[in-house]
Amino acid sequence: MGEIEFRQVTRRFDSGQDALREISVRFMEGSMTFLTGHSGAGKSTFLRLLLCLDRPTRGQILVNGVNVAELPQRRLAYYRQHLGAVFQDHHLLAERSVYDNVALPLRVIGVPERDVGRRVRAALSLVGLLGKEPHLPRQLSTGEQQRVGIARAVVGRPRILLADEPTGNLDPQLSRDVMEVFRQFNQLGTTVIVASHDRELIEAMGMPIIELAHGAIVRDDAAASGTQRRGSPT
Amino acid sequence: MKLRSKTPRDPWPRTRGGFAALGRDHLRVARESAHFISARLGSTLLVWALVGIALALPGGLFLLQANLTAMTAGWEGRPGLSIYFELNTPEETIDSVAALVGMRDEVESVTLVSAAEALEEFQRQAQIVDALALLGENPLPASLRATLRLGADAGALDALAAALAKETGVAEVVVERTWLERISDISRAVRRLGLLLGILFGLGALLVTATSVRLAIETRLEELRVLKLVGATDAQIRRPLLYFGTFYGLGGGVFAAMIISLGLVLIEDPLADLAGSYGQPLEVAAFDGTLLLAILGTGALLGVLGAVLAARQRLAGLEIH
Repeated sequence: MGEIEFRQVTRRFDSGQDALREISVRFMEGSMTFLTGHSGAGKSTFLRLLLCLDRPTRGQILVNGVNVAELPQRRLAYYRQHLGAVFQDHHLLAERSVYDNVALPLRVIGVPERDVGRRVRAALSLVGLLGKEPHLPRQLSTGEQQRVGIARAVVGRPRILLADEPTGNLDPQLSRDVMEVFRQFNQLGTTVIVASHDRELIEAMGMPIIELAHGAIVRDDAAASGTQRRGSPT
Repeated sequence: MKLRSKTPRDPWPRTRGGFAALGRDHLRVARESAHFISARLGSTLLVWALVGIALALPGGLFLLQANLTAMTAGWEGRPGLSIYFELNTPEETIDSVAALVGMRDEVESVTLVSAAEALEEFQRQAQIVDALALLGENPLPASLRATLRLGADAGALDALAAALAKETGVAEVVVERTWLERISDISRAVRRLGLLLGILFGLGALLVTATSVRLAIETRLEELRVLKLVGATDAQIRRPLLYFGTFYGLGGGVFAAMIISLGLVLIEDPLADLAGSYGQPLEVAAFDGTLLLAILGTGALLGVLGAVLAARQRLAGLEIH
Protein backbone atom coordinates (compact mmCIF):
# COMPACT_ATOMS: atom_id res chain seq x y z
CA MET A 1 0.00 0.00 0.00
CA GLY A 2 1.32 3.44 -0.76
CA GLU A 3 -0.02 4.65 -4.09
CA ILE A 4 -2.18 7.72 -3.71
CA GLU A 5 -4.31 9.53 -6.25
CA PHE A 6 -6.54 12.59 -5.87
CA ARG A 7 -9.15 12.76 -8.64
CA GLN A 8 -10.93 16.07 -9.14
CA VAL A 9 -11.08 16.64 -5.40
CA THR A 10 -12.91 19.70 -4.12
CA ARG A 11 -13.44 20.59 -0.49
CA ARG A 12 -15.91 23.40 0.06
CA PHE A 13 -16.52 24.63 3.58
CA ASP A 14 -19.97 25.54 4.90
CA SER A 15 -19.01 29.20 4.46
CA GLY A 16 -18.85 28.57 0.70
CA GLN A 17 -15.08 28.93 0.54
CA ASP A 18 -13.19 26.30 -1.45
CA ALA A 19 -10.21 24.94 0.51
CA LEU A 20 -9.32 22.71 -2.45
CA ARG A 21 -10.56 23.05 -6.02
CA GLU A 22 -10.60 20.23 -8.55
CA ILE A 23 -7.30 18.81 -7.36
CA SER A 24 -5.91 15.91 -9.40
CA VAL A 25 -2.54 14.53 -8.45
CA ARG A 26 -0.84 11.17 -8.13
CA PHE A 27 1.84 9.89 -5.73
CA MET A 28 3.56 6.64 -6.60
CA GLU A 29 4.32 4.07 -3.93
CA GLY A 30 7.63 4.82 -2.23
CA SER A 31 7.74 8.45 -3.34
CA MET A 32 8.60 11.48 -1.22
CA THR A 33 6.92 14.78 -2.02
CA PHE A 34 6.76 18.21 -0.46
CA LEU A 35 3.51 20.11 -0.39
CA THR A 36 4.02 23.85 -0.09
CA GLY A 37 2.12 27.08 -0.32
CA HIS A 38 1.18 30.05 1.80
CA SER A 39 -0.95 29.80 4.90
CA GLY A 40 -4.51 28.94 3.83
CA ALA A 41 -3.39 27.49 0.49
CA GLY A 42 -4.98 24.12 1.32
CA LYS A 43 -1.99 22.05 2.52
CA SER A 44 -3.54 20.98 5.81
CA THR A 45 -6.91 20.27 4.18
CA PHE A 46 -5.09 18.07 1.66
CA LEU A 47 -3.50 16.00 4.43
CA ARG A 48 -6.68 15.90 6.52
CA LEU A 49 -8.56 14.48 3.55
CA LEU A 50 -5.89 11.84 3.12
CA LEU A 51 -6.12 10.97 6.82
CA CYS A 52 -9.93 10.85 6.46
CA LEU A 53 -10.30 13.47 9.18
CA ASP A 54 -12.44 15.32 6.67
CA ARG A 55 -14.41 14.30 3.58
CA PRO A 56 -14.19 15.89 0.14
CA THR A 57 -17.22 17.73 -1.21
CA ARG A 58 -16.57 16.21 -4.62
CA GLY A 59 -14.04 13.84 -6.16
CA GLN A 60 -12.23 10.69 -5.14
CA ILE A 61 -9.17 10.01 -3.02
CA LEU A 62 -7.77 6.67 -4.07
CA VAL A 63 -5.25 4.82 -1.96
CA ASN A 64 -4.19 1.64 -3.67
CA GLY A 65 -7.24 1.96 -5.87
CA VAL A 66 -9.78 2.28 -3.05
CA ASN A 67 -11.69 5.52 -2.51
CA VAL A 68 -10.91 6.22 1.13
CA ALA A 69 -13.38 9.12 1.18
CA GLU A 70 -16.16 6.55 1.26
CA LEU A 71 -14.68 4.12 3.77
CA PRO A 72 -17.07 3.08 6.52
CA GLN A 73 -16.08 4.01 10.07
CA ARG A 74 -14.87 0.52 10.97
CA ARG A 75 -12.50 0.17 8.04
CA LEU A 76 -11.31 3.73 8.55
CA ALA A 77 -9.58 2.59 11.74
CA TYR A 78 -7.73 -0.21 9.92
CA TYR A 79 -6.76 2.23 7.17
CA ARG A 80 -5.33 4.65 9.72
CA GLN A 81 -3.35 1.83 11.34
CA HIS A 82 -1.26 1.80 8.16
CA LEU A 83 -0.64 5.56 8.19
CA GLY A 84 1.76 7.66 10.20
CA ALA A 85 0.96 11.30 10.89
CA VAL A 86 3.04 14.12 12.31
CA PHE A 87 1.49 17.44 13.27
CA GLN A 88 2.97 20.79 14.13
CA ASP A 89 1.31 20.72 17.54
CA HIS A 90 2.43 17.09 18.12
CA HIS A 91 -0.84 15.79 19.65
CA LEU A 92 1.15 14.19 22.49
CA LEU A 93 -0.59 13.00 25.63
CA ALA A 94 0.55 15.28 28.44
CA GLU A 95 -0.05 12.76 31.25
CA ARG A 96 1.73 9.88 29.51
CA SER A 97 5.46 9.27 29.37
CA VAL A 98 7.43 9.51 26.16
CA TYR A 99 7.49 5.69 26.09
CA ASP A 100 3.71 5.40 26.40
CA ASN A 101 3.14 8.08 23.79
CA VAL A 102 5.32 6.32 21.25
CA ALA A 103 3.93 2.89 22.18
CA LEU A 104 0.31 3.94 21.54
CA PRO A 105 0.01 2.84 17.87
CA LEU A 106 1.66 -0.51 18.68
CA ARG A 107 -0.74 -1.20 21.55
CA VAL A 108 -3.67 -0.33 19.32
CA ILE A 109 -2.70 -3.12 16.91
CA GLY A 110 -1.95 -5.56 19.74
CA VAL A 111 1.83 -5.87 19.49
CA PRO A 112 3.17 -7.97 22.41
CA GLU A 113 4.66 -5.80 25.15
CA ARG A 114 8.20 -7.20 24.76
CA ASP A 115 8.16 -6.17 21.08
CA VAL A 116 6.63 -2.82 21.98
CA GLY A 117 9.66 -2.02 24.14
CA ARG A 118 12.12 -2.97 21.42
CA ARG A 119 10.33 -1.02 18.71
CA VAL A 120 9.74 2.06 20.87
CA ARG A 121 13.45 2.22 21.72
CA ALA A 122 14.35 1.79 18.04
CA ALA A 123 12.03 4.65 17.05
CA LEU A 124 13.35 6.89 19.82
CA SER A 125 16.89 6.05 18.83
CA LEU A 126 16.10 7.10 15.27
CA VAL A 127 15.00 10.56 16.42
CA GLY A 128 17.83 10.88 18.96
CA LEU A 129 15.71 10.57 22.09
CA LEU A 130 16.85 7.23 23.49
CA GLY A 131 16.97 7.55 27.28
CA LYS A 132 14.03 9.96 27.41
CA GLU A 133 11.46 7.17 27.76
CA PRO A 134 10.31 7.96 31.33
CA HIS A 135 9.97 11.72 30.73
CA LEU A 136 6.67 13.48 30.39
CA PRO A 137 6.25 15.63 27.26
CA ARG A 138 6.28 18.84 29.30
CA GLN A 139 9.76 17.95 30.53
CA LEU A 140 11.05 18.08 26.95
CA SER A 141 11.86 21.01 24.68
CA THR A 142 9.52 21.84 21.78
CA GLY A 143 11.95 20.25 19.34
CA GLU A 144 12.14 17.08 21.41
CA GLN A 145 8.36 16.94 21.64
CA GLN A 146 8.17 17.20 17.87
CA ARG A 147 10.61 14.30 17.56
CA VAL A 148 8.50 12.21 19.97
CA GLY A 149 5.59 12.88 17.61
CA ILE A 150 7.72 11.66 14.70
CA ALA A 151 8.79 8.56 16.63
CA ARG A 152 5.12 7.77 17.29
CA ALA A 153 4.30 8.25 13.62
CA VAL A 154 7.02 5.87 12.41
CA VAL A 155 7.04 3.25 15.17
CA GLY A 156 4.28 1.23 13.46
CA ARG A 157 6.30 1.14 10.20
CA PRO A 158 3.54 2.83 8.21
CA ARG A 159 3.30 2.50 4.44
CA ILE A 160 2.35 6.16 4.17
CA LEU A 161 3.82 8.93 6.31
CA LEU A 162 2.13 12.34 6.35
CA ALA A 163 3.59 15.36 8.07
CA ASP A 164 1.92 18.76 8.48
CA GLU A 165 4.46 21.51 9.16
CA PRO A 166 6.69 19.14 11.15
CA THR A 167 9.50 21.67 11.45
CA GLY A 168 7.37 24.67 12.35
CA ASN A 169 8.76 24.87 15.88
CA LEU A 170 12.31 23.75 15.17
CA ASP A 171 15.57 25.56 14.54
CA PRO A 172 17.20 25.11 11.09
CA GLN A 173 19.58 22.33 12.15
CA LEU A 174 16.81 20.32 13.86
CA SER A 175 14.59 20.91 10.85
CA ARG A 176 17.21 19.37 8.57
CA ASP A 177 17.60 16.43 10.98
CA VAL A 178 13.86 15.81 10.97
CA MET A 179 13.75 15.91 7.20
CA GLU A 180 16.61 13.44 7.16
CA VAL A 181 14.53 11.07 9.29
CA PHE A 182 11.71 11.31 6.74
CA ARG A 183 14.15 10.66 3.93
CA GLN A 184 15.44 7.54 5.70
CA PHE A 185 11.92 6.20 5.99
CA ASN A 186 11.23 6.99 2.39
CA GLN A 187 14.29 4.98 1.43
CA LEU A 188 12.74 2.00 3.23
CA GLY A 189 9.80 2.20 0.82
CA THR A 190 7.41 4.44 2.75
CA THR A 191 5.43 6.97 0.74
CA VAL A 192 6.11 10.33 2.40
CA ILE A 193 4.20 13.59 1.94
CA VAL A 194 5.42 16.59 3.91
CA ALA A 195 3.49 19.86 4.02
CA SER A 196 5.76 22.80 4.79
CA HIS A 197 5.89 26.49 4.04
CA ASP A 198 9.67 26.53 4.61
CA ARG A 199 10.58 26.90 0.95
CA GLU A 200 14.34 27.17 1.58
CA LEU A 201 14.37 23.89 3.51
CA ILE A 202 12.37 21.90 0.99
CA GLU A 203 14.24 23.26 -1.99
CA ALA A 204 17.43 22.11 -0.27
CA MET A 205 16.06 18.57 0.00
CA GLY A 206 15.93 18.23 -3.78
CA MET A 207 12.60 16.38 -3.78
CA PRO A 208 9.54 16.90 -6.02
CA ILE A 209 7.34 19.77 -4.87
CA ILE A 210 3.64 20.45 -5.27
CA GLU A 211 2.67 24.03 -4.67
CA LEU A 212 -0.85 25.03 -3.74
CA ALA A 213 -2.38 28.50 -3.93
CA HIS A 214 -6.00 29.25 -3.05
CA GLY A 215 -6.84 25.55 -3.14
CA ALA A 216 -5.42 24.87 -6.61
CA ILE A 217 -2.16 23.30 -7.75
CA VAL A 218 0.12 25.93 -9.27
CA ARG A 219 3.26 23.79 -9.44
CA ASP A 220 3.73 20.05 -9.79
CA ASP A 221 7.34 19.09 -10.43
CA ALA A 222 6.61 15.51 -11.40
CA ALA A 223 3.84 16.45 -13.82
CA ALA A 224 6.00 19.19 -15.35
CA SER A 225 8.93 16.86 -15.96
CA GLY A 226 6.58 14.21 -17.35
CA THR A 227 7.90 11.66 -14.90
CA GLN A 228 6.04 9.74 -12.34
CA ARG A 229 6.74 10.63 -8.73
CA ARG A 230 8.56 7.50 -7.76
CA GLY A 231 11.44 7.03 -5.35
CA SER A 232 13.62 9.87 -4.23
CA PRO A 233 17.14 11.08 -4.82
CA THR A 234 19.60 10.38 -2.07
CA MET B 1 0.52 -11.12 15.23
CA LYS B 2 -1.27 -12.11 12.02
CA LEU B 3 -2.58 -10.07 9.18
CA ARG B 4 -6.04 -11.15 8.23
CA SER B 5 -7.66 -9.91 5.09
CA LYS B 6 -11.44 -9.76 4.84
CA THR B 7 -11.33 -9.78 1.07
CA PRO B 8 -8.48 -10.77 -1.23
CA ARG B 9 -8.13 -7.15 -2.32
CA ASP B 10 -8.29 -5.56 1.11
CA PRO B 11 -5.43 -3.05 1.04
CA TRP B 12 -5.66 -2.43 4.79
CA PRO B 13 -5.92 -5.77 6.48
CA ARG B 14 -7.01 -5.82 10.06
CA THR B 15 -4.05 -6.38 12.30
CA ARG B 16 -4.96 -9.04 14.82
CA GLY B 17 -3.05 -10.04 17.87
CA GLY B 18 -5.55 -12.75 18.81
CA PHE B 19 -7.25 -13.35 22.15
CA ALA B 20 -3.98 -12.96 24.04
CA ALA B 21 -3.58 -9.42 22.71
CA LEU B 22 -7.22 -8.65 23.48
CA GLY B 23 -6.77 -9.95 27.02
CA ARG B 24 -3.58 -7.92 27.45
CA ASP B 25 -5.34 -4.81 26.19
CA HIS B 26 -8.28 -5.32 28.57
CA LEU B 27 -5.90 -5.81 31.47
CA ARG B 28 -3.92 -2.70 30.62
CA VAL B 29 -7.02 -0.58 30.05
CA ALA B 30 -8.61 -1.84 33.30
CA ARG B 31 -5.43 -0.98 35.21
CA GLU B 32 -5.23 2.49 33.63
CA SER B 33 -8.93 3.13 34.26
CA ALA B 34 -8.61 2.10 37.90
CA HIS B 35 -5.62 4.40 38.22
CA PHE B 36 -7.58 7.23 36.57
CA ILE B 37 -10.53 7.05 38.94
CA SER B 38 -8.39 6.46 42.04
CA ALA B 39 -6.37 9.55 41.16
CA ARG B 40 -9.63 11.52 41.42
CA LEU B 41 -10.75 9.95 44.67
CA GLY B 42 -12.88 12.88 45.86
CA SER B 43 -15.19 12.91 42.86
CA THR B 44 -15.08 9.10 42.64
CA LEU B 45 -16.34 8.77 46.23
CA LEU B 46 -19.11 11.22 45.44
CA VAL B 47 -20.18 9.14 42.42
CA TRP B 48 -20.01 5.93 44.48
CA ALA B 49 -22.13 7.51 47.21
CA LEU B 50 -24.75 8.75 44.74
CA VAL B 51 -24.97 5.42 42.93
CA GLY B 52 -24.92 3.63 46.29
CA ILE B 53 -27.88 5.61 47.60
CA ALA B 54 -29.75 5.06 44.35
CA LEU B 55 -29.22 1.30 44.65
CA ALA B 56 -29.68 1.02 48.42
CA LEU B 57 -33.26 2.24 48.59
CA PRO B 58 -34.77 -0.27 46.13
CA GLY B 59 -32.37 -2.90 47.50
CA GLY B 60 -33.57 -2.23 51.04
CA LEU B 61 -37.19 -2.37 49.97
CA PHE B 62 -36.54 -5.67 48.23
CA LEU B 63 -35.07 -6.95 51.47
CA LEU B 64 -38.11 -5.76 53.41
CA GLN B 65 -40.45 -7.35 50.91
CA ALA B 66 -38.51 -10.61 50.97
CA ASN B 67 -38.71 -10.70 54.76
CA LEU B 68 -42.42 -9.95 54.81
CA THR B 69 -42.94 -12.74 52.30
CA ALA B 70 -40.83 -15.09 54.40
CA MET B 71 -42.82 -14.10 57.48
CA THR B 72 -46.20 -14.77 55.84
CA ALA B 73 -44.86 -17.94 54.23
CA GLY B 74 -44.03 -19.24 57.69
CA TRP B 75 -47.61 -18.71 58.79
CA GLU B 76 -49.29 -19.64 55.56
CA GLY B 77 -51.34 -22.82 55.85
CA ARG B 78 -51.57 -22.36 59.63
CA PRO B 79 -53.99 -19.57 60.10
CA GLY B 80 -56.23 -19.89 63.07
CA LEU B 81 -59.11 -18.61 65.15
CA SER B 82 -59.29 -17.17 68.61
CA ILE B 83 -62.73 -17.55 70.14
CA TYR B 84 -63.36 -15.32 73.13
CA PHE B 85 -66.25 -16.16 75.48
CA GLU B 86 -68.37 -13.87 77.54
CA LEU B 87 -67.36 -13.56 81.17
CA ASN B 88 -68.55 -16.36 83.41
CA THR B 89 -69.60 -18.59 80.51
CA PRO B 90 -70.28 -22.07 81.90
CA GLU B 91 -67.61 -24.70 81.26
CA GLU B 92 -70.17 -26.93 79.52
CA THR B 93 -70.83 -24.24 76.94
CA ILE B 94 -67.11 -23.78 76.36
CA ASP B 95 -66.61 -27.53 76.07
CA SER B 96 -69.42 -27.84 73.59
CA VAL B 97 -68.00 -25.07 71.39
CA ALA B 98 -64.54 -26.69 71.68
CA ALA B 99 -66.05 -30.01 70.61
CA LEU B 100 -67.82 -28.32 67.72
CA VAL B 101 -64.59 -26.75 66.52
CA GLY B 102 -62.57 -29.92 67.09
CA MET B 103 -64.90 -31.94 64.91
CA ARG B 104 -64.07 -29.88 61.83
CA ASP B 105 -61.72 -31.71 59.42
CA GLU B 106 -59.64 -28.64 58.67
CA VAL B 107 -58.92 -28.00 62.36
CA GLU B 108 -55.74 -29.58 63.63
CA SER B 109 -55.93 -28.65 67.26
CA VAL B 110 -58.04 -26.75 69.74
CA THR B 111 -56.49 -25.30 72.86
CA LEU B 112 -58.49 -23.97 75.77
CA VAL B 113 -57.17 -21.00 77.68
CA SER B 114 -59.30 -20.71 80.77
CA ALA B 115 -60.03 -17.38 82.44
CA ALA B 116 -57.63 -18.32 85.24
CA GLU B 117 -54.86 -19.21 82.75
CA ALA B 118 -55.45 -15.94 80.89
CA LEU B 119 -55.07 -14.04 84.14
CA GLU B 120 -51.86 -15.90 84.97
CA GLU B 121 -50.49 -15.06 81.53
CA PHE B 122 -51.49 -11.41 82.03
CA GLN B 123 -49.80 -11.29 85.44
CA ARG B 124 -46.64 -12.81 83.99
CA GLN B 125 -46.47 -10.36 81.10
CA ALA B 126 -47.43 -7.33 83.17
CA GLN B 127 -45.21 -8.50 86.03
CA ILE B 128 -48.03 -8.11 88.54
CA VAL B 129 -47.94 -10.45 91.51
CA ASP B 130 -51.59 -10.46 92.59
CA ALA B 131 -53.88 -8.90 90.02
CA LEU B 132 -57.02 -10.19 91.66
CA ALA B 133 -56.28 -8.17 94.78
CA LEU B 134 -56.05 -5.08 92.59
CA LEU B 135 -58.96 -5.78 90.26
CA GLY B 136 -61.34 -7.47 92.64
CA GLU B 137 -62.38 -10.05 90.02
CA ASN B 138 -60.90 -11.65 86.90
CA PRO B 139 -61.85 -9.43 83.97
CA LEU B 140 -60.44 -11.83 81.34
CA PRO B 141 -62.62 -14.28 79.47
CA ALA B 142 -61.85 -17.86 78.63
CA SER B 143 -60.84 -18.44 75.02
CA LEU B 144 -60.20 -21.16 72.50
CA ARG B 145 -57.35 -21.16 70.03
CA ALA B 146 -57.98 -23.24 66.94
CA THR B 147 -55.21 -23.99 64.46
CA LEU B 148 -55.93 -25.23 60.93
CA ARG B 149 -54.14 -28.18 59.37
CA LEU B 150 -51.28 -27.47 56.94
CA GLY B 151 -52.67 -26.96 53.47
CA ALA B 152 -56.24 -26.67 54.69
CA ASP B 153 -58.54 -24.27 52.90
CA ALA B 154 -58.01 -21.00 54.69
CA GLY B 155 -61.21 -19.66 53.17
CA ALA B 156 -63.17 -22.06 55.37
CA LEU B 157 -62.10 -19.97 58.34
CA ASP B 158 -64.54 -17.23 57.47
CA ALA B 159 -67.49 -19.59 57.36
CA LEU B 160 -66.41 -21.26 60.61
CA ALA B 161 -65.92 -17.89 62.31
CA ALA B 162 -69.36 -16.71 61.20
CA ALA B 163 -70.97 -19.90 62.51
CA LEU B 164 -69.13 -19.75 65.84
CA ALA B 165 -70.01 -16.10 66.39
CA LYS B 166 -73.68 -17.18 66.62
CA GLU B 167 -73.00 -19.77 69.32
CA THR B 168 -74.23 -19.12 72.85
CA GLY B 169 -71.58 -17.58 75.12
CA VAL B 170 -69.26 -16.53 72.29
CA ALA B 171 -68.37 -12.85 72.58
CA GLU B 172 -65.93 -12.46 69.72
CA VAL B 173 -64.19 -14.51 67.06
CA VAL B 174 -60.88 -13.20 65.77
CA VAL B 175 -59.72 -14.56 62.45
CA GLU B 176 -55.93 -14.42 62.54
CA ARG B 177 -55.74 -14.64 58.79
CA THR B 178 -56.65 -10.96 58.70
CA TRP B 179 -53.16 -10.14 59.91
CA LEU B 180 -51.72 -12.36 57.29
CA GLU B 181 -53.70 -10.61 54.63
CA ARG B 182 -52.56 -7.24 55.90
CA ILE B 183 -48.94 -8.32 55.85
CA SER B 184 -49.44 -9.82 52.43
CA ASP B 185 -50.99 -6.56 51.20
CA ILE B 186 -48.12 -4.57 52.70
CA SER B 187 -45.68 -6.98 51.06
CA ARG B 188 -47.31 -6.47 47.67
CA ALA B 189 -47.30 -2.69 48.13
CA VAL B 190 -43.65 -2.75 49.17
CA ARG B 191 -42.82 -4.88 46.13
CA ARG B 192 -44.52 -2.44 43.77
CA LEU B 193 -42.97 0.54 45.53
CA GLY B 194 -39.58 -1.17 45.33
CA LEU B 195 -40.08 -1.82 41.63
CA LEU B 196 -41.08 1.77 40.99
CA LEU B 197 -38.23 3.17 43.06
CA GLY B 198 -35.89 0.64 41.47
CA ILE B 199 -36.74 1.96 38.02
CA LEU B 200 -36.54 5.61 39.08
CA PHE B 201 -33.39 5.29 41.14
CA GLY B 202 -31.86 2.92 38.58
CA LEU B 203 -32.41 5.63 36.01
CA GLY B 204 -30.81 8.05 38.43
CA ALA B 205 -27.79 5.78 38.87
CA LEU B 206 -27.57 5.44 35.09
CA LEU B 207 -27.55 9.22 34.67
CA VAL B 208 -25.00 9.68 37.45
CA THR B 209 -22.58 7.22 35.84
CA ALA B 210 -23.31 8.61 32.37
CA THR B 211 -22.52 12.12 33.58
CA SER B 212 -19.39 10.95 35.39
CA VAL B 213 -18.15 9.07 32.35
CA ARG B 214 -18.99 12.08 30.23
CA LEU B 215 -16.77 14.20 32.51
CA ALA B 216 -14.05 11.56 32.22
CA ILE B 217 -14.37 11.75 28.43
CA GLU B 218 -13.97 15.52 28.54
CA THR B 219 -10.76 15.24 30.56
CA ARG B 220 -9.42 12.57 28.19
CA LEU B 221 -10.68 14.07 24.96
CA GLU B 222 -7.20 14.66 23.60
CA GLU B 223 -6.22 11.06 24.32
CA LEU B 224 -9.34 9.77 22.56
CA ARG B 225 -8.57 11.96 19.56
CA VAL B 226 -5.03 10.65 19.38
CA LEU B 227 -6.28 7.07 19.72
CA LYS B 228 -8.60 7.67 16.78
CA LEU B 229 -5.76 9.21 14.83
CA VAL B 230 -3.47 6.20 15.27
CA GLY B 231 -6.17 3.81 14.13
CA ALA B 232 -7.94 2.68 17.28
CA THR B 233 -11.28 1.08 16.52
CA ASP B 234 -14.48 2.39 18.09
CA ALA B 235 -14.41 -0.57 20.48
CA GLN B 236 -10.88 0.33 21.60
CA ILE B 237 -11.85 3.97 22.10
CA ARG B 238 -14.92 2.98 24.11
CA ARG B 239 -13.11 0.35 26.19
CA PRO B 240 -11.63 2.61 28.92
CA LEU B 241 -14.99 4.39 29.22
CA LEU B 242 -16.78 1.11 29.80
CA TYR B 243 -14.28 0.27 32.51
CA PHE B 244 -14.95 3.67 34.12
CA GLY B 245 -18.66 2.89 34.11
CA THR B 246 -18.07 -0.60 35.52
CA PHE B 247 -15.88 0.70 38.33
CA TYR B 248 -18.31 3.51 39.16
CA GLY B 249 -21.19 1.03 39.21
CA LEU B 250 -19.33 -1.62 41.23
CA GLY B 251 -18.18 0.96 43.76
CA GLY B 252 -21.77 2.22 43.99
CA GLY B 253 -22.89 -1.37 44.60
CA VAL B 254 -20.42 -1.74 47.47
CA PHE B 255 -21.70 1.54 48.93
CA ALA B 256 -25.29 0.31 48.58
CA ALA B 257 -24.45 -2.93 50.43
CA MET B 258 -22.81 -0.88 53.19
CA ILE B 259 -25.85 1.42 53.46
CA ILE B 260 -28.23 -1.56 53.66
CA SER B 261 -26.04 -3.25 56.29
CA LEU B 262 -25.93 -0.06 58.31
CA GLY B 263 -29.70 0.29 58.01
CA LEU B 264 -30.18 -3.27 59.24
CA VAL B 265 -27.94 -2.65 62.24
CA LEU B 266 -29.95 0.46 63.11
CA ILE B 267 -33.39 -1.20 62.89
CA GLU B 268 -32.37 -4.60 64.20
CA ASP B 269 -33.49 -3.97 67.83
CA PRO B 270 -36.94 -2.53 67.09
CA LEU B 271 -37.50 -5.28 64.51
CA ALA B 272 -36.50 -7.95 67.01
CA ASP B 273 -39.01 -6.49 69.49
CA LEU B 274 -41.74 -6.46 66.85
CA ALA B 275 -41.05 -10.02 65.76
CA GLY B 276 -40.83 -11.10 69.39
CA SER B 277 -44.27 -9.67 70.12
CA TYR B 278 -45.66 -12.14 67.56
CA GLY B 279 -43.58 -14.92 69.05
CA GLN B 280 -41.26 -14.98 66.05
CA PRO B 281 -37.48 -14.93 66.29
CA LEU B 282 -35.80 -12.22 64.16
CA GLU B 283 -34.15 -13.84 61.19
CA VAL B 284 -33.32 -11.41 58.41
CA ALA B 285 -33.94 -13.32 55.21
CA ALA B 286 -32.41 -12.69 51.77
CA PHE B 287 -29.44 -10.54 52.87
CA ASP B 288 -26.95 -13.04 51.58
CA GLY B 289 -24.29 -13.51 48.94
CA THR B 290 -26.89 -13.68 46.20
CA LEU B 291 -28.35 -10.29 47.11
CA LEU B 292 -24.86 -8.83 47.40
CA LEU B 293 -23.95 -10.18 43.96
CA ALA B 294 -27.25 -8.88 42.58
CA ILE B 295 -26.53 -5.39 43.95
CA LEU B 296 -22.97 -5.40 42.60
CA GLY B 297 -24.12 -6.82 39.27
CA THR B 298 -26.90 -4.26 38.97
CA GLY B 299 -24.44 -1.51 39.82
CA ALA B 300 -21.94 -2.72 37.24
CA LEU B 301 -24.66 -3.12 34.61
CA LEU B 302 -26.03 0.36 35.21
CA GLY B 303 -22.47 1.70 35.12
CA VAL B 304 -21.76 0.06 31.78
CA LEU B 305 -25.09 1.27 30.36
CA GLY B 306 -24.32 4.79 31.57
CA ALA B 307 -20.90 4.62 29.96
CA VAL B 308 -22.37 3.37 26.69
CA LEU B 309 -24.86 6.24 26.77
CA ALA B 310 -22.14 8.81 27.44
CA ALA B 311 -19.77 7.33 24.85
CA ARG B 312 -22.47 7.21 22.19
CA GLN B 313 -23.39 10.83 22.85
CA ARG B 314 -19.91 12.28 23.05
CA LEU B 315 -17.84 10.18 20.69
CA ALA B 316 -20.22 10.24 17.73
CA GLY B 317 -18.96 13.57 16.51
CA LEU B 318 -15.43 13.44 17.89
CA GLU B 319 -13.41 15.75 15.69
CA ILE B 320 -9.65 15.63 15.32
CA HIS B 321 -8.31 19.13 14.85
